[in-house]
Amino acid sequence: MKPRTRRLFLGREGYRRRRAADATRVVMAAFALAALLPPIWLPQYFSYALGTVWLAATWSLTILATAALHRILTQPPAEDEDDA
Amino acid sequence: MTPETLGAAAIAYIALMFLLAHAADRAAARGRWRWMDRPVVYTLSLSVYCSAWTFFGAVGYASRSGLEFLTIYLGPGIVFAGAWWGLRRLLRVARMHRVTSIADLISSRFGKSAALAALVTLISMLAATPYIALQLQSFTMAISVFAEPGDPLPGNISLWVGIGLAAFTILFGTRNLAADERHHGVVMAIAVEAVVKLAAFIAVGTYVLWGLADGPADVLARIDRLAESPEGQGWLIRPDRWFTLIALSGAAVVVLPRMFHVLVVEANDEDRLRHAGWAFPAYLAAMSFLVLPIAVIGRDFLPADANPDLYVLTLPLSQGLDTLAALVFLGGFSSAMSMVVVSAIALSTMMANHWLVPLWLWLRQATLSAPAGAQEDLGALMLNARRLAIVAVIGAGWVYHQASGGTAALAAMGIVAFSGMAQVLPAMVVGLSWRGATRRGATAGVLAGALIWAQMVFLPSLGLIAPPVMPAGIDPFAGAVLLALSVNLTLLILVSLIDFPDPVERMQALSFVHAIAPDSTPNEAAPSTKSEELLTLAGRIWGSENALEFFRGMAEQQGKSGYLPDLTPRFLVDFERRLAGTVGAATAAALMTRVVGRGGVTVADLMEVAGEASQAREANRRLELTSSELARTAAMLRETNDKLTALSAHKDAFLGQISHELRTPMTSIQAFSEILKEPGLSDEDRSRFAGIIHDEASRLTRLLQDLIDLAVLEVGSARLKPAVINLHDLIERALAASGATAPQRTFTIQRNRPAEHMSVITDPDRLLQVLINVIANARKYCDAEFPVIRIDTRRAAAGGTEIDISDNGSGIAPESRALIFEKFARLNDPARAGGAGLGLAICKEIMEFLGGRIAYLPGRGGACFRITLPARPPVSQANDAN
Repeated sequence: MKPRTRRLFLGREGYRRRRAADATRVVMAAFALAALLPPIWLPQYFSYALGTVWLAATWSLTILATAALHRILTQPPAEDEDDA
Repeated sequence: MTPETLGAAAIAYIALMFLLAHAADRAAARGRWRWMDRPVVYTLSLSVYCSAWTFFGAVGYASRSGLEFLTIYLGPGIVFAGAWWGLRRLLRVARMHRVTSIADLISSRFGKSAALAALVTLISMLAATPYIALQLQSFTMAISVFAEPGDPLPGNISLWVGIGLAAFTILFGTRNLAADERHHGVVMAIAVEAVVKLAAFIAVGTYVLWGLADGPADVLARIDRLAESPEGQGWLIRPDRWFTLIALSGAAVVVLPRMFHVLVVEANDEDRLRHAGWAFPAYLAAMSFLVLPIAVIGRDFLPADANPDLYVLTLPLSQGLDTLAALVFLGGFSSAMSMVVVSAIALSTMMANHWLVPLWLWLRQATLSAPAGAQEDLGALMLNARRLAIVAVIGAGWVYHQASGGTAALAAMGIVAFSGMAQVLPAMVVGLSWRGATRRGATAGVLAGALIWAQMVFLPSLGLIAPPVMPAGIDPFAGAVLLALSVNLTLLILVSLIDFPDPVERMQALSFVHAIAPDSTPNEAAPSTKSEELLTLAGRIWGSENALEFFRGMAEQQGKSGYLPDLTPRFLVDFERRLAGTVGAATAAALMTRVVGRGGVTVADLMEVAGEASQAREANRRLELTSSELARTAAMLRETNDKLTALSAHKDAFLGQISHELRTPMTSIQAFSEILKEPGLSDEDRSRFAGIIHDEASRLTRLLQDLIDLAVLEVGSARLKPAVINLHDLIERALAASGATAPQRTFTIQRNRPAEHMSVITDPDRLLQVLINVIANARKYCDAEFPVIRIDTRRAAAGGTEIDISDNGSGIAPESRALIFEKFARLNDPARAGGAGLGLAICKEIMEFLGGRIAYLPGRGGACFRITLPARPPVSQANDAN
């Protein structure tokens, strides 16, 4: 089997990239909760204009946050650098 | 704007897409596809998710059920927000295993199970048929909006649309059987269609939002006013449906065959998810939030009996904006077209790979590795199976559309398709994250889930049986879906827990869950005599050019020259995976077993692999590079050594031979000139003896000429005299000149004369010498009863020219192939050959001198030589000539 090697500790750049990747998971979970919970919990408020605004706002924020995080992930992997 | 005008516009639009796809395919074939391999094209191609159901149906859905329509887009929105985390793994594993479809992924993960693949294909087919019918229906409905009242449309519009789409799909979806399932032309066309439908929807949405309403605030106010009306009750979110639909659409964006195809199969690398991860949700958000104003304003502006599904068309029409309505029509047509085309490609690949080809293999227990020509072309068979499947998929959609005949049953079909395909999700997600999931578990889960879905969702949606009765307060659809999915998941887990999977399955599980490249087991090495059979098999599937290219690359990696690599376990695994990229994992495994005759992997083998792996992991990593380099060098050395040993033997023989060859004519010249000195010879005898002396002297000269030729070429002092010539003329001359060899035998010469008319820049005399030599050899050595010589010419991809000269004899034995281009090598009886064995050696020197090469091609039945010429002769020598 070809072993996959993964460094145990990373330098600043690599560390930031890892955390950015973690953050995308947080954003996903937050958006899932925002889209599911309020409408299920309080359908009488979230079925109309308020719900529309709420979903539009949270979704737009999610898209912006994902785009920003994915930009950080664009930078070349710096996993070879020494731990700083 | 009449239906006829719109029909013409739709035809013109399809024609435009034909041209675009054609241009993209041509560019890709020439290797210029970087510009269409951009993340933006990939992201736009994902918009095939938005079918005509989105375009027309979403507005109708929104006006009936309010915000619930948003669930169809929120699900994908959530999934893509986590694209970097979840989808990246999927893409990586799928690319590693060269997965061709969702059925192939599931089958490959669960021990390359052919049965599981066939089952998933069946579910996909069942779910997609009404969905395709919905697209045809929406086109007919949309065009009927433009008809004058009382002026009925021709009844067969949907048939013609279906035929047009099937033709498009067959032309661009089944052009060739590539080793990966990518279709640049189709992807480019659907990317452009994505722009068209977005532009059309934004145009109508903005017009409604700011032209008819007073901006977003006005629309929101209208929504709140609607809440107080009786209709507003329909808008109230039902929690069970809200949750189920978001979950279903999140699943659908990955597991729907067409989505899996554009998302996974057409993806070149996983990096593009970084862009698609936010850009695709942005696309969906733009499409979906414009639905609300259209639904609300349509309700307020249009008569109560207007069909909400068509608001998007009837709103601009009611305001006299025909051009906008026509643009919207084209947008809707784009959505329908891209959905049908990609679905048909994905489903036809699944049906061909998992139904038709296994059936064919089972029916014909033929040997798959017989020489080409003796067997039919497997590649063509596969392509025809796909074409047939495309016609079947679109045809089934059309039949369904005709049979159901109404819109009522179709409206819910999108969700029905989603819930059907969702039955594959547990097997996929659990299979990718838990090594313990087994084939029997997955089969039990998928089968049970699919049966419940068919009974409680699919058949009731057709009106065949009554919808299920659920306890009060539970939505029948949400209840049925949750029940099917829970039974599915429970069975998958329970059966897996008590099951003991077979070794292949465990290897695959490890490879999928940890994203480790699949490796070989110790007993996988096969006898090396099989490599030519494998080459033949590959040639019959990919076409012999691609197969030769792949085999040459693999041989090179092993440090071997020629076209036949050693059948190392590594090569076998790579080859099988590559084959799986065309025919699916299950079929590839079956084909390999049939040709190579591998025995099954045992648990003991597995333990051995695991044991070795854990011990040697760290050491391996460090040694890997060095050892592969060493192995390559060793293989090269071994090959050279074998050659040298054989050559040394030949050289000794040659020295004897050459002295003999020189002495024999000299002796007869000497003897006959002695006789000529005798007086009293008759004139007749004198002239006969003089003739013999002349012939023998000529033979001597020829032999010396050959030796001088070789010496000149080897030393590099030969001069190149380049000229532009027509290859056809040269081949004619070569055939005429070589006719003197074995003139008593009649040869059938097969040529493609028109293809031969191409100009090449080279030294014509030298090339002619090579052609004469190779053709004369074929005439001399071809041992077939009815000998055939075949000459093929073509432009090589790299810009040069290739000439293949083959015969139908028994060819050259594998062990002799390494030597035929060496000096002094002559394979069979010297008396029969009547030369010193310098012919091919001279050919090789000449070809190197011309900047090209000559090689023996294995796996072609008889002997086959390929002469490759560069686009231009080497510069330095040409300059010398000047």
